[in-house]
Amino acid sequence: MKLIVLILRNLIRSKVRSALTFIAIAISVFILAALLSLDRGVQRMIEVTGGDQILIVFEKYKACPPYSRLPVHYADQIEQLPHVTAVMPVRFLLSFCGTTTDLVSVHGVEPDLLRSFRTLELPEEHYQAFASERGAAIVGRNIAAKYGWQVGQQVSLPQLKGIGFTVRGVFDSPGSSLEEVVLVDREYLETTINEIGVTTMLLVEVDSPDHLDETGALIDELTANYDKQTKSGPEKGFIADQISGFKELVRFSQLVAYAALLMLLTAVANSVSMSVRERLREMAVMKLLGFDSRQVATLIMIETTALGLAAALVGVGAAWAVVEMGHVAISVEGFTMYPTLTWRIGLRALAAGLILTTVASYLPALGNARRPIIEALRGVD
Amino acid sequence: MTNQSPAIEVTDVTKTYTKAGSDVTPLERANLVIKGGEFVVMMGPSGSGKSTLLNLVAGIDKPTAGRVVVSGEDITDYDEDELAAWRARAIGYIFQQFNLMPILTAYENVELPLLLLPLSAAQRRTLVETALEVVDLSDRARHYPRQLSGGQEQRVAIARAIVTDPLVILADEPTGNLDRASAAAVMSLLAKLNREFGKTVLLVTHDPFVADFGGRVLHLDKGEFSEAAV
Repeated sequence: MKLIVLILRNLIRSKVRSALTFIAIAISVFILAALLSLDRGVQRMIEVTGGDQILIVFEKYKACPPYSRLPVHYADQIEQLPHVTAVMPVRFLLSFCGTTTDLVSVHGVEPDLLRSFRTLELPEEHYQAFASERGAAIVGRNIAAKYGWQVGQQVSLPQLKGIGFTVRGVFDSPGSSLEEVVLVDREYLETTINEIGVTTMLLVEVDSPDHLDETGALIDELTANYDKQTKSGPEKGFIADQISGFKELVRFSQLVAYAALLMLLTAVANSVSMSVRERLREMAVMKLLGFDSRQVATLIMIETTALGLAAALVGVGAAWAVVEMGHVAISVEGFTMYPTLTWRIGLRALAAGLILTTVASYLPALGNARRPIIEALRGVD
Repeated sequence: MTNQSPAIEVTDVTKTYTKAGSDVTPLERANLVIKGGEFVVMMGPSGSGKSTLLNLVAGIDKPTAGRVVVSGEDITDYDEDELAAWRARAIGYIFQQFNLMPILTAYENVELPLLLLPLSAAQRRTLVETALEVVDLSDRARHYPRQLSGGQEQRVAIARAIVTDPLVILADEPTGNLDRASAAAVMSLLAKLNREFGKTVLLVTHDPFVADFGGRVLHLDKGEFSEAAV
């Protein structure tokens, strides 16, 4: 602590170099934290969106499930199967099927069944208004915020076959894909787009998670000889499967981020090395005054680590601001994922930045601090 | 003001190093005894071994053979850490080029060696203020080296060398970068430290003017000492 003045002044003596090192570390940590938050967002979406006792049924052989088309009357037949307690057809209407940050998605649902399958937080009177009025909609908190929609407002979406609706409520469904979705009555949606009796998927509730696989197999067997065959599976597993490509991409991006950190390590080591070489004589003088090599090396490492800590904090802070305050949402295969920066992720990114700078400073600091005093005083390089 | 116990004893010291593939021996079986409280000026041509000897006495170089005893401690076999700790308490070193930390004020430069010692902030302040007073730079305590003249910088360096109250002060061409007036001021100061505070001073110089301030002048040539009358 006594040497804090020396450490701080050394940090600011070469402002440009310190600033560049700081920026490089902060950006790397920001990227790492942001990419790690994607992973957590995917996990959270699967946890929150998929019910433990829910099967999801899509048309077989559809690469993009939101483009699946199944007859609504399948619901009546599936309801008769053992262990099935409820079935809800859901019709999707969306602007794009793939990975995007600007997806508008309208789901046609059964208002009287919806809450058996999904947990929504909104005032009861708003839900009742939605359930009782044709052309009414409830909208997720995020999409309402994104487009500035208010309760009572009439909205028309030209990009989605001109569908219009009156916003009767804004709901919360933290972490779930639904916060980016507009929910309307399914029959109203079918009528509007003139595709009556055709649904995108069926949500099937069973009496126990133990019966998910068995019931799914029964459903697929039931439709095996129909014109439109089905592919059924537990909702959580289905979502995970559907976005597996995205998850792979995220993992690859994280690898790239770690590789970039390693590259940064060499850049920081070079920066420290340059900084130390410029101060060889001062370090020799300190040793002549009685500082030992370890103390001198520690001072340099504290300098770099302090810079790294500050930069990593800024990087994590910036990632938090963008991810959490910016309400970033990414739509993947029709599901909406919210990157989530938990404190664990923040700590992980912070630790990565900190370890990086400490490791990067270790060898140049120790190597130069151990240099014989005479050699350093002569400025021998 | 000398006492009979030696402050510096160099016994049969040889120093050989390799330069450009060949062995160079600036000191061979050199012997020197400096009593406590002496002011010794060491002169000699370039390559005579005087800086090598100073480095050996300062513990920043190791003899190839022989023994070096300073302030009663045989430092010949000390390792790097032991030498560092010994330097902190036993010697003050003054350079030709001052070698102050440019990012620290005069006060902070003088305080630097005290940070290694178990002293409170108040104790450090007292010692730094006293050292700056001795070199007559109390009014420049908050100035950075770039705001000081060469002579003032060297006086700050002297304050830094004496702030831990070492018995021995080693000076390598301390006036080499100064004009005559500043050199005289610095030498008067070193003489005062020797005379009034009993410091043992070993000073290396080329300058005969500087030699006049010493109580004993040694000429070193090819590792051989010869004493000159003062």
